Amino acid sequence: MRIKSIVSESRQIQRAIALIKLGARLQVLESETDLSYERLLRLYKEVQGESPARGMLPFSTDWFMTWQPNIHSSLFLNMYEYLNKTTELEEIDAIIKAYELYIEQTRAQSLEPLLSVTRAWRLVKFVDAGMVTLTPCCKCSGKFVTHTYELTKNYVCGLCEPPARAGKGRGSQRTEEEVLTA
Amino acid sequence: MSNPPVINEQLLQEVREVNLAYLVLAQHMIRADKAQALYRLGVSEEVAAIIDQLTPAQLMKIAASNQLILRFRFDDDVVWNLLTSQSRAKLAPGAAVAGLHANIVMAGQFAESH
Repeated sequence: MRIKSIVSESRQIQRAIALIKLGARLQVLESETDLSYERLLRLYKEVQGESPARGMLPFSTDWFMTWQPNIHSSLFLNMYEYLNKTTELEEIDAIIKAYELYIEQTRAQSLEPLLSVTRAWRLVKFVDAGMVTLTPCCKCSGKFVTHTYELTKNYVCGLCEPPARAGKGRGSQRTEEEVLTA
Repeated sequence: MSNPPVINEQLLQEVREVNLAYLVLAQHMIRADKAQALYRLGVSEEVAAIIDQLTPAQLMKIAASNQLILRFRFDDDVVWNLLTSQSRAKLAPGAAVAGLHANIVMAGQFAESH
């Protein structure tokens, strides 16, 4: 797509740089800006000093439902919704700002951020598509990521009632890409 | 102690300092990134706009009070229990994510407050 306005182009470049710095994959940049693939590639190399990772993006909603990823995803999505409801931001800017807040909060608790910015972006797209939503836990009233058509009347979150092996697995001391399904 | 009113100067000064520190920090956050500041502060866009516009003289004047101008943004047991890690006992000690529970509940509380 041809960009007419220089101001708009510069805004898009700023956005792309912010996303690259947060570790976004090239597919995210292609989808969120009108910049050409070649320019994005050059920008990526300039900012990161290396070529972007290749391969497909994760496309399943299942990752967001596993125990630890669900907690991280829920934190991010709550922050995203907060920004969305209190200010008028374009979606991608809200994603960037919410992701920064998420990174801050995990750092503050000395946890590794399990959720990548690419996954965070994916999550928002799943919400837009109506595949995934936030459901309040009937015990703590916190809102957690669930499938939209799940039975959620008496939903209890994974922190109020953790699965039997939660936190006992190898690596949950600090976090890893462990997937503790109950 | 009914005769001369005892004014606790030290306490008043500490309140004033907290008020001023809060206002200066709030203003700084709002100017750096308004959207994120609303999340961090838990105030509405209107209040943020007012704080943003305050002059140093106004900040001093507002800070000088015997009341704190900020208060807790949550007042339910749930959040307090989570913050004081009552719920962590349920999880194995290693479950570091338990610390995020309060954050999730708090991040979900916005529209109700105004």
